[in-house]
Amino acid sequence: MDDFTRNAQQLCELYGITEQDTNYIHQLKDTALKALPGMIESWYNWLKSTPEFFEYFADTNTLERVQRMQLGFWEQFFDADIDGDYVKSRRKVGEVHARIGLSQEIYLAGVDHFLSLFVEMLGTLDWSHSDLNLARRALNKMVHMDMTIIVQSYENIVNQKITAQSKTLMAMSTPVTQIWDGILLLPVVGLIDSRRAQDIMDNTLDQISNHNAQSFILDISGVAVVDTAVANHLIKITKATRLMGCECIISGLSPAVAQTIVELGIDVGTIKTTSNLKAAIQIAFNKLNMKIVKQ
Amino acid sequence: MDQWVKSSIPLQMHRGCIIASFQLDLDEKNLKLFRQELLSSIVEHNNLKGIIFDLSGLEIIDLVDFQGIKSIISMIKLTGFETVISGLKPAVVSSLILMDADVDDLNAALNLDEAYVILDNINRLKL
Repeated sequence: MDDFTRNAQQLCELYGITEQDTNYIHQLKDTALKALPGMIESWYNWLKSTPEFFEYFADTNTLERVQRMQLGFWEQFFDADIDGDYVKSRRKVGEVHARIGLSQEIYLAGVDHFLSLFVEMLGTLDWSHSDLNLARRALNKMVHMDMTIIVQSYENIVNQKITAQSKTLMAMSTPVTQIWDGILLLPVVGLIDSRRAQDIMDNTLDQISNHNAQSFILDISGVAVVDTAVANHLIKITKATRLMGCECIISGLSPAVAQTIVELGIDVGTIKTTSNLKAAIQIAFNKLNMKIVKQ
Repeated sequence: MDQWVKSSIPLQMHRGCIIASFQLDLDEKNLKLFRQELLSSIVEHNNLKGIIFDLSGLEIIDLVDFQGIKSIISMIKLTGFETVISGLKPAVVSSLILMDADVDDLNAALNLDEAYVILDNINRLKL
């Protein structure tokens, strides 16, 4: 979690935030805090015109809580005390946004809204021209740094979600199941590429050793295309299972697949293949010296 | 002195089969010693059903080791006996296939029990 971002000091260096900058921000604190409730009000007035408002903030309690949090956020901002805790609290904001699914658009629009209000606020001060310029620059730097931290942690959470999802998908795509003592079945649906073939193989071998299976039926009736590459993957899977001491039967070869395999000149060697699952199960039962009897 | 050097692969007889348990990761010197021990013990026995290589103790097999094992199996075949390898780990199999090892015409079994069954079947076919 911590190795993907810079720490507070590195961030300050990256954005060139000096003590002078934080001093300016700090001097603005009193004025800003007085103006902030009005600013938040104006921001939510704008937000009411977006569909997101009703999705996230329609509830009055939630709205009050969020507004209080926002006040706290800017208070901390004008304290300009950039340390580990400051960076942590910003990361937290990004994480919360990602968890509730608030779009980055809204967040960035919000930051822009507040920034323009702050710049407006600068105009009401009786500071010298150069001081005002420096203060504006300081505001910019700070706001951008905040944005970086928040967007980064937002992305991090979203990426974690995607990784978890693809893992689940991977596990779901190779459902090796035991249909009888010592007989495993894997119906493959969809496309087989080298990555998936590898997954199928690893998963199958693990299941074979877990279940002590002696027959493994690979049903490919749901595989759309069987070309040379796919056939090679299938052959590899059969070889691997045989090396484990488990016989592999490929079932569900459609007429079209049978034709392409012969036309492509693929040598399937000694692999047992059947056109339907029933025949494959029959072979497996024969191997195990078992039979199904009608009562 | 050389007489006392033995490979770290133990050989034992069980139900008419010689069982070789590979417990340590292989190296060339060890395999060579093992080969000599095994082949001389094969010719000592009569009434041998076959040889079982128990590879369940191996975490890693590279192509060279695999080739070494395969050549020992071919040598055993020349003496007129069959070999079954048993208990290969999923990860080992996966990596061997990934390295495009030639695994055709090897007898393999899930465990020792299955290995006996395979050897019995082969012997029955020979009769």
